[in-house]
Amino acid sequence: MAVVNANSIAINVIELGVEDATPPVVMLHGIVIDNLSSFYYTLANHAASAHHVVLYDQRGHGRSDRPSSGYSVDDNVEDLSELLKALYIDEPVVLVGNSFGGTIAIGFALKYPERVAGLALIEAHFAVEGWGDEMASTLRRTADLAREGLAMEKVLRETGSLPKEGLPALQKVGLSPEEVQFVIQWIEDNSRRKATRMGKTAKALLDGTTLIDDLQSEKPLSEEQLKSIKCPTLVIYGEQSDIIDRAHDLARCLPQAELNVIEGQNHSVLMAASDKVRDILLPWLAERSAIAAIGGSVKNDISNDGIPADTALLCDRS
Amino acid sequence: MSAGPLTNDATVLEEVVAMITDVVGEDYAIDLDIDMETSFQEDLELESIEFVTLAEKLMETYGEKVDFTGWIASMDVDEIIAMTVGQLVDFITKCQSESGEE
Repeated sequence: MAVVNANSIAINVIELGVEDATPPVVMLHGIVIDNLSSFYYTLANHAASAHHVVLYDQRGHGRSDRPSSGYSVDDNVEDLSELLKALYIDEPVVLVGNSFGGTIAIGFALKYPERVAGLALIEAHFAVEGWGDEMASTLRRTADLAREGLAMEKVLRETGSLPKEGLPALQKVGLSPEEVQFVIQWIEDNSRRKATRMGKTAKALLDGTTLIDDLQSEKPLSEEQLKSIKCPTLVIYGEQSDIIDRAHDLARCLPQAELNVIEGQNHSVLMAASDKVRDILLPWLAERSAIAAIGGSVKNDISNDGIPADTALLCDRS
Repeated sequence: MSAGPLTNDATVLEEVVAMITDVVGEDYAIDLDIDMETSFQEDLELESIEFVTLAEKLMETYGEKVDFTGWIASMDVDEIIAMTVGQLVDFITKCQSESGEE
């Protein structure tokens, strides 16, 4: 674990696996209640036997800095860009993004197509019409739930019992009985220390930074933009995902998309069915390595005798 | 367990406890009675990011002789979450005795 200064913040990074394996595989976690540990538990160590794996905590998350502003998709794309430079990674990388991590991966592929050897998008969000407002509203509600959770956890600690009906003072934000139930479940599922720390982290990020406003201002991606992403793209969604329409958009627009829908799973597919995600992702990563190896020899061919590369094998970097 | 004289569970347990204390902070650790039965999730209430920090410290401390990456890769999420200090200590001790050195 190392702290790397990039784009004016300290970023917590873990590098695993085979140092000079190519292409490097960078994993991008989801938003708010997430950090690099979700990939550490599910994919990073598994991929490390054959790949150079880079994990990092995005700004505001895990053990990276939490600046008060700069949480747009493009800010996150620039963090990734500067982080790769700081790690001396100048060759094209494979980006594996889960949920909002997929949003960043897509943003990076649009801005720096020549630096991407492939995209693996797991339950990826990306901005469609109304997405900014929808994300902002979901995150504002998450902040309400975090406040409710912390307050209820405090009552539990002080009185020894959980106020099952929720706290009257917090009912003014209009939590539904289902949401109160969700908070109770969350407190019961997690240890007290863990629930408190997770709640505080979420609250600090949502109440203490411009994250919600920044995401609310995101512009929808156009179909042309999606169509311009020409690198090999692995698309993995849960069958019952609330954003399954994104899977079909990606499959329709990206020329090299391979769609995989995992039966019976929802947006939490990475954690809930990590074995199934691995079964799809690891062979695909191995293919990227094999193609990078051919790409290397093709480059040599060009310099040696001017024979054009078999570009069908390579990511179109136009 | 065929541990050598320098690689017994007690020594490794002591080292692991010191690293856990380092990760969770002295103030919190002082109230914890950590032994081989202690679980990271249920008893220590470690956040997953803290567990990863601990794993990284272990890798720095024990180096290549202890293949944490391969070990974590052999487990599913639920198994990692349910891990006890004893399982970790046994794994380290086993790797050390197999490598024939401290």
